[in-house]
Amino acid sequence: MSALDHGQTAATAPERGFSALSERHSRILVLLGKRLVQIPVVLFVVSIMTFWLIQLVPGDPGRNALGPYATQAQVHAWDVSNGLTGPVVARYLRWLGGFCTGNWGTSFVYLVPCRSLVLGHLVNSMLLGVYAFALMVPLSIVLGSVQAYREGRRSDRAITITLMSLSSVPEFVVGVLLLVVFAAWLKMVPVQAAADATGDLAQRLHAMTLPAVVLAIAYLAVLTRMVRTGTAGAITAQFHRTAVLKGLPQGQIVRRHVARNALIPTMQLLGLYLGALLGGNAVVETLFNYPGLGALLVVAAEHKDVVLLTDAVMVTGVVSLLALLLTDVCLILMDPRIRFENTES
Amino acid sequence: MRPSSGPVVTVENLTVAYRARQQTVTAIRGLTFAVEAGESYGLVGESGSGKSTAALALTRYLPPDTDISAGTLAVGGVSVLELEARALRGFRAGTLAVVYQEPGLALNPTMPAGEQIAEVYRLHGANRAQARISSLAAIERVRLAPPRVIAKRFPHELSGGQQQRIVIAMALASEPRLLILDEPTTGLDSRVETEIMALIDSLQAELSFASILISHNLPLVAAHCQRIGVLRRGVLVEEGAAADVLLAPRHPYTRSLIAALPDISAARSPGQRAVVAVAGEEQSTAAGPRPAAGPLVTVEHLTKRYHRKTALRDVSFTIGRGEVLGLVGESGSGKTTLGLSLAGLTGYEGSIRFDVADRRPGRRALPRVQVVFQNADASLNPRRTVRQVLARSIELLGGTQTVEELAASTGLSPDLLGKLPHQLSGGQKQRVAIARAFAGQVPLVICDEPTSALDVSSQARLLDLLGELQERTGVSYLFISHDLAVVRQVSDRIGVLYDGELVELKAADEIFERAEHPYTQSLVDSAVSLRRRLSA
Repeated sequence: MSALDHGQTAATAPERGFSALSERHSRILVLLGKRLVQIPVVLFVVSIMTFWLIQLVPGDPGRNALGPYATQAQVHAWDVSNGLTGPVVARYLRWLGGFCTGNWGTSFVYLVPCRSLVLGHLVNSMLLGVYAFALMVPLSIVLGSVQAYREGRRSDRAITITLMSLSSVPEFVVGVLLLVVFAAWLKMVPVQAAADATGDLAQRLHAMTLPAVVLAIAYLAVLTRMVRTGTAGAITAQFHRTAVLKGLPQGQIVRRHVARNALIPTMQLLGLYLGALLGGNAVVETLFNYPGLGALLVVAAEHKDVVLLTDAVMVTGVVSLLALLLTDVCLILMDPRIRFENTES
Repeated sequence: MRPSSGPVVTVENLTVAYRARQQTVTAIRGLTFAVEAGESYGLVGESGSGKSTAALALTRYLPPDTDISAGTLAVGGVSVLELEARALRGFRAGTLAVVYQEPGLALNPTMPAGEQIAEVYRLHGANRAQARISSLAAIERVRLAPPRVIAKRFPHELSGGQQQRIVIAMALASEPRLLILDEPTTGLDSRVETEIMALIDSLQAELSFASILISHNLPLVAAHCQRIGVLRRGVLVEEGAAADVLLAPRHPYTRSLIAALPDISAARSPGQRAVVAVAGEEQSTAAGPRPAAGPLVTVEHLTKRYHRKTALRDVSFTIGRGEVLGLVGESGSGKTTLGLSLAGLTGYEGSIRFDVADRRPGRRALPRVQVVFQNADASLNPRRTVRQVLARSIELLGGTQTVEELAASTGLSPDLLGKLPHQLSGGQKQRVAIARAFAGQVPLVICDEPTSALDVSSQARLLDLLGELQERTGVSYLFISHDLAVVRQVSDRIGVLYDGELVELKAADEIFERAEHPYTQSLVDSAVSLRRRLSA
């Protein structure tokens, strides 16, 4: 035994004086601190882009609102009263000041304050997103691991082909098909998901089932593929052989040695999907007439409702970035090797 | 130790065949051997000889498409092939244990080391607290300290040697009757190798388990086993007491294996370069071995810092024209970083000067450095044929020879030119990598552990080729390796890197006779002691 052996490790993993767990806690704190700076910067850039890009979209909101028989003066007066005149920069700064102080402006499409409008739709979208997420994550883990354990067999290929076919069909086609079968024909669920949005939770979930299924199907194929790859990697890894030759029971091998290692690659993808789902899906929400953030964004963009659109985009951005942050925290907890800082100077 | 009647391992007429598509590959043919209680038995052979398959057959851990048949296959009195699933698990948990080739991969990366050991105690009925105490004792037994800290570390926070100690602790936790050591020190530095093998020896004396040591490294096996079996293409060609097999081999294959070993006592191959080296020794502090020319490369105050740690500290040296500079050091000592800096593949502080005349004035300067990497697999594009690889290199390096001439000069037969890397053997791939470096006239070739992934006989042939190419073209080499014997065989001078510092730089013979730095001494001692057992 030599002192050299220890000396070398001490150089790479210095003794920090606290346990492995609290070392990870400190890494989480560092990550949170960094994101606290990064997230506002990203949002700032996104808001500038949104505010500026919407100016490029053709269409005249005042003319649209007042119709073809209004005079030019009336349209101009409408524009002034809705804050659509003046230099873009000044208008942007006015919006930014308002947004930061909680005054998110008024939507001229809905004629209500943007804040309650956006947050209300956000809650709806998040409900739907969580529902879809809760359907697709367990399902993809089950399907993916079944595939990995039966790699190359008929069941493996059947699942791949089915999922790939389903996910290559656009959401609105799947959605319409499901509507025809389950709503119009079997009458198991209402056609419009919005109808029961005011009812109790059970009713709402019932109404949300079809859109959630459609959303889940859209992401299921890729997610299952990731789980399959991760699991296949874990069960062909040498540490799996070590676990088997230790004589561990199969269940313990899966729980303690396969599961965590298999799901690490999937986690990163889950973060992206979670952000996308919680922020609302325009196609599915529009199709099912569901009052979510995605549908709201479509309306705001159509009508050039700059203030509403930028507010909604900001909220979507916050949700996505927080979802990513959540994944990164989970990754630190799952994988002791992960490092977010640069390794090369 | 339980009283045992008869041998721990009895293998009679074992045949293992892998079924792949339509064809069947027989990995082991009629293998018969036995291991007595407390005995250490060595299985020697090159890659593909079936030695690992033989070991896995004892654990019955073989791919589903494997045909396995044997007259007898018994470990600890248990007939392995007849076990039901539950009994097989109990057999694996209690009767035998395995120490693997790459401890870094054999350990679960997301579980602390202590927990992975504790799992074994839990399996044998200990409660959580008992398992914890036992695993701390196990860590102490493999001489890792402090156990509490080590137990909380994840595998990636341990060095290779420490990882292997954890694997050993884990294996011995079940008090097995048989310990299978599958290339336990391949990939570890020679000094760590010596320590690990000494640890295994002392634990075996203490706990009196039987062991099977599988390796391609003959001196290692000779030093630690009482009896040796030599496997060649799945057939046991020779078996006997360790000393007899090594000192008086009967089978020609065994003889060729022994002949291929790099000889620690003899310096480089004789010939023109030996004369050059003598000249270098006479003026040992001078820049290079050739008095006429100045040094080809002058490195001054080279320092390389990564994010947190310093890989190289103020390293200065020269490489003469036509000189072979050997560079040894353990993993993490900075030797690869030094090679990368010279090749211009990474940034650094300090200066590296090449004294090279521009051979094509007015045109784009030709590269001054080529690198032969350790892992030929990873350095060859999997979708390019050998011909494409070589043609591209000739074009880039401004070479004048044809692909066929280049292939012939590096011992690649013409029918390999149309093949893709995965169709080649390890030695052939490394030859392609070498041919690529010699596609044009490049003054310096950096060989970064070019033979460490190869068998001894492939290694010997490759070292011959490198020597021959050097004589023919007069290039300089920076030859990086952790194996002092290999470095000695090819180098004029040897530099020793320790923790980023060049602690010693001397003529090859002097390193062995007058090593000054304690680290160099320990390197020389472990290299010599392994081989001394051979001749003793």
